[in-house]
Amino acid sequence: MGKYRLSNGLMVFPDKDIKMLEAMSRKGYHVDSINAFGLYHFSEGEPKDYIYAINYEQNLREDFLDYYQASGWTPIIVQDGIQIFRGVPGSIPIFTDKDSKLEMLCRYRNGYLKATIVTFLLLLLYTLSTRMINLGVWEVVIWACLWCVFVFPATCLYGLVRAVRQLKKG
Amino acid sequence: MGRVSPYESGELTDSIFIILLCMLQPVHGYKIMQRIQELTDGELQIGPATMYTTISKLCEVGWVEELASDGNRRQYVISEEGMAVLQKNFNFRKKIMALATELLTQYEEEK
Repeated sequence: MGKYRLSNGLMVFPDKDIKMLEAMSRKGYHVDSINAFGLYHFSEGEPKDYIYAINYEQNLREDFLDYYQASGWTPIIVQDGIQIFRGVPGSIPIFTDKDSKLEMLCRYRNGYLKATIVTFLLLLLYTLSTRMINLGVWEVVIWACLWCVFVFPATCLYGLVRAVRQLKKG
Repeated sequence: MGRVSPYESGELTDSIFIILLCMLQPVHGYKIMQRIQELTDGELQIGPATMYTTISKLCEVGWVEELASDGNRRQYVISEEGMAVLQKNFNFRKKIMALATELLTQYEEEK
């Protein structure tokens, strides 16, 4: 029987998720999917000492997986913007230098920065317009929806800014 | 002050330098990782994410050209601009090696 576990926030605390996936594999539960709400599904199997790696590439080229498979990493979850790979202890790390990781994180951070600014401006414009137009009960509903649309890129941006800072320091 | 990217400064890291060397002939991206491992007897390994990101960036700055796809697998080759950057870095490294050889020989002789 499978099990479910909630992500710790894949974009903000990827290391926590990696530790959790590895601990689950040691217990015999191996991740096979994640849904839009951050809920992982694990299939039951033999306990294994697997290791996991997370990447955030966007606009994947068709030869993307070749690189990982040639290095012994098995793709488990591959979506535009999030990829999770499974390897065995001793596998070559997916990033072997700081520059390439920084390059990827900065590219991704800049995308979320734009999205955060755009959604913030939308939220601001809407808040100002409600002073002139009365939408009744819809006012709160639209406001809540816009907040949700703003919070997602803002949270991702926070995680990426944090990751870039840690990498530059470390 | 922030660090300048090697793609802006033209000062290549060891990984980018060797990746460009492997692209003197058209090659599939994923095969470069194996080639580097063979050439350096496993001393230098390039991870898949590093390889993929580096190739994307090399194409973006125009140091590498993408050739027509062979099925799903793309081939890459160094461009003229990339060749100029590689040559400049090669000359610099050669000078450093010559200097290191001279100083180390001097040190050995004085011992």
